[in-house]
Amino acid sequence: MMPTLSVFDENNMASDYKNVVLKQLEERNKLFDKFSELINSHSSLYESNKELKKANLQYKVDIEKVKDENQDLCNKVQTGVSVAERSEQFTALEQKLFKVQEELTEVHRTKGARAQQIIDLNLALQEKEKEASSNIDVVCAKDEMITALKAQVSSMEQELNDLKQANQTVNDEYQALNITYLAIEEKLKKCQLENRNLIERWMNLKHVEAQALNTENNQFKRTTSTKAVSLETQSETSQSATRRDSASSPQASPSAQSSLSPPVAVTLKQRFSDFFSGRSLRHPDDEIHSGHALGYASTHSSAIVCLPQEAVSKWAAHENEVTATRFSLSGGRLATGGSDRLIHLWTFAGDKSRLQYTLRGCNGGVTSIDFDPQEQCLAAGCNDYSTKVFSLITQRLKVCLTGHNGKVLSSRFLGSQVRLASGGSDRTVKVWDLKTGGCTRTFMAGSSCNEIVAVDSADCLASGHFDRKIRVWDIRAGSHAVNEIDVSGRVTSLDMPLDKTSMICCTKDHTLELVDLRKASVLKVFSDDSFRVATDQTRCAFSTDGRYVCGLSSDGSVLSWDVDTGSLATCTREHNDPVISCCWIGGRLVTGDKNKQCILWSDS
Amino acid sequence: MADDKQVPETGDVNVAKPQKIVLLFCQTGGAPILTKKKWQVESSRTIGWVNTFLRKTLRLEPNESLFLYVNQAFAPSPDRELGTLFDCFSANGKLVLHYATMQAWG
Amino acid sequence: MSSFARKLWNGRIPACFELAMYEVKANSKPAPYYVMLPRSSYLTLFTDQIRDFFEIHMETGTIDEVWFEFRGKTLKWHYPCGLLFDMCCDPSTDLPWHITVHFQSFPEKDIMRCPGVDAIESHYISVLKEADQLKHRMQVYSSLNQSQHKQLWHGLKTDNFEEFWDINKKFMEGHEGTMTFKNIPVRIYFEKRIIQKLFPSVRVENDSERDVTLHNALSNCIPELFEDLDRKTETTAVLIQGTTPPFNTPLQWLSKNMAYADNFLHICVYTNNTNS
Repeated sequence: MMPTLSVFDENNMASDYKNVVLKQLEERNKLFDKFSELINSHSSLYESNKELKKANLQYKVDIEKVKDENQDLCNKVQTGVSVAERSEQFTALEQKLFKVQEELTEVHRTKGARAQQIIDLNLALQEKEKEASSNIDVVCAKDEMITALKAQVSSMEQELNDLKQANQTVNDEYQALNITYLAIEEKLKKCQLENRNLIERWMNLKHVEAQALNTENNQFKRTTSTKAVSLETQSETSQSATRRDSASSPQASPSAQSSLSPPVAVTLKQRFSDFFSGRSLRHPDDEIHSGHALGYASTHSSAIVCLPQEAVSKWAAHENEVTATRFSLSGGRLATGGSDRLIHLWTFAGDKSRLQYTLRGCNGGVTSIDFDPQEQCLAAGCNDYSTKVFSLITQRLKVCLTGHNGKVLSSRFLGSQVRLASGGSDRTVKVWDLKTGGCTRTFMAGSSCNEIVAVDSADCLASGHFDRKIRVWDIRAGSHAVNEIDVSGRVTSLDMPLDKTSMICCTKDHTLELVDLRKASVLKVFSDDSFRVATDQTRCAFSTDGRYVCGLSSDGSVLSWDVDTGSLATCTREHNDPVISCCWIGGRLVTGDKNKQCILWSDS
Repeated sequence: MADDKQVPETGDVNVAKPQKIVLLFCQTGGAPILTKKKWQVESSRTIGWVNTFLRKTLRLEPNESLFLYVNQAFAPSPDRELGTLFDCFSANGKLVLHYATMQAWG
Repeated sequence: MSSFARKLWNGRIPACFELAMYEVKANSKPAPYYVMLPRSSYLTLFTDQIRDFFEIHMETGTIDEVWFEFRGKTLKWHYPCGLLFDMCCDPSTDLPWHITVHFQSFPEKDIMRCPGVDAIESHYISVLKEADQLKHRMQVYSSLNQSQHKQLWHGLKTDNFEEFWDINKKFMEGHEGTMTFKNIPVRIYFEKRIIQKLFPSVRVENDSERDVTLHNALSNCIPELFEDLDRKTETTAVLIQGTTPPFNTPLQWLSKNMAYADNFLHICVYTNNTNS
């Protein structure tokens, strides 16, 4: 059966290899299956053998069981024989047993009754014991309550004692405090009394002081008037008489330019309007100027602007610098202030100036002067850190406004007699109420204020500062500047024409700058080679009609520019020293220099 | 059959140049990673040898199991020679064996 | 085809298991255990029955994993029974197949352990997958679901022809619409060597496709067999499933009809001097 190969050549091999393989497979299976019957029968035999063995075992166990049962039964049978013989004895014994059992039951019965009694008694006893124990409990609880209450009582007592002690100490304290209170009240009363006395004394002293100042002023006036009398010529005497008349009777009728006739009394205003009209008579063909002037104010209806071309009058006004010049609004009077601490009031006879009177009271150089709109008061900024307000009627010092911590460099009335603004080197701008003499507002400008102008009638004002700024303030508004306008140099001075439409500002940069307040910007700049600003407080001026501006130079020149064209209108050198102050109202321009001189100008 | 001739011949082939094949091990199913993946191994080595070799290299505990897969499909029995596997399942001159510590395929 | 498969399936080997003498308990003489082994089955599938049979004849506590031995050679349980028989027995003399059963001193070096039926199943599936990889690039196996895999194994385990072939027929279809497999899974056992190579089902010779025959495969793997045509040896044997197909049998046909349950064509080749 071993398959061997005799031929390798595949061509000789049978083509139906399938059949060959199939045949071989069948042969293989036949060969192997010979054993299958044998093995299958063997395994089935093995299985049945196994089953039989199991069954056999079971049977063996069963046999054992049956044997055991059999043994038991045998035993039972053997014991069963002797019982029948002894049954009689059993009955006798049983009867005895029965009797005994009956006796026993009797005994049990009595015992039961006794036991019942015992149980009842026991129950009663237990009840009593329970009662007793509950009573004891109640007593214990009461005891506890008592001790608790006692403890409470003692603690209450303790508390009461504490409270009593506290009350005592509080009472003591109260009495001590009462005593000290009374003593302190006494002291207060004493102090109040003392205070009253001191105030009284102080008032008296103030009174005395004012009295002294006024008497001094009166004395000085007297001496100057006597001087004037002696200095003036005989022809002037009648004039002084006229002045006195005009002061006493303001309802006098108008008269000619030089009012020589004493009965014809004129007011100052009228006199000056006459003065202006006289000038217009002198230039009857100058229609434009007069027409321009017409719109501004009734008092200046006939005024024409005069340009500084010719010095009309020149006089020594102070002992050294003329630091402030100011016409009254009517133009009738001129006030000048100097570093000699004096304020002179001048009137003009024709072109000649006449000293009317002098106001004293400043303890430092005068820096600025302003008239109130009613021309009843005059305010002067002063180097002694104060603003002095004089009454022009009594010619006496009315109020001294102290509060600045530096020189007051400018003070101006704000549209009324009772309100005034001042600025100074202490870098503040203050607003004052003259009725009370107190400061109502203080603006922290942050830079030294060289000049203040009132922008409108009451609440708005502008200040020029060392830090090259113009600040606009509103008194009603907050503490900050409403507006700030930058200019090219330190602001020495500000001025506005009567219509308050624009503002001129003089800077230390040697320029005049035209400022528009609404736009907060510089509109025009005026400058000239000969225009050199001398000091930090050198003033400038706007002509009343707003057509010209005027600047002051350190070489003594007075310059004017045409605002519309920006061209230099005039440049005249009449001063020998640096010019520092000016005032220009209507047809009059006055300038003051560092060396006594004041000049009144007119155009040629 | 020329037995005397045939035996030395085959012996010559086996002894003179013990053929080497390139094995590439790929880690899968969370097994540790081998630093060296390519190995040159004699083709007469068995899968069982590779298994013990890998266990040693990966420092596996004796109770950890390691499975080797060819073609990411079947696990050859340990007595399989690498040469026959290489003949049938190599790619680009390498036999890629994936190894895993848990059963990965089938 | 059906008759072929059926006949192949019916191939069984009468086996006679005998307990190794040194393992027998004193005073007992165990009878041998006879069983018909299906050729595609595995020895270890019979472990439980064999153990039940021999248990009473052994000292308790000495029972380790079972292993089998024939004429001093350890039998590799992971080969199909038919292959094992073809490898080491001569059906003319060795029937029934006397196998010695051991429960002690497991030869770790020679064979791998078989902890249970699961191990056999996973080994079987692994070999099946390898065959499918060669035949269809794993496409058939992948297309089957888990229960079909289980059915395949169950059919083999319980020797149920219908159950097994219901699934196995899918593995016998051609690759990608052709009539043939891509490669034919063949293992050739020769002189203690196992040869496995890629065998395509057709070869090109003189510009025409021709079937690869058994001769082609053998001459490729063992050229020395056909070296000397003059001395046509009488001693060379080729056994497939216990049969000797002609050399011109196409490999494709053999694989389809004569493969084991693991889809491999196991070919035993030996010369008579090695065989005996």
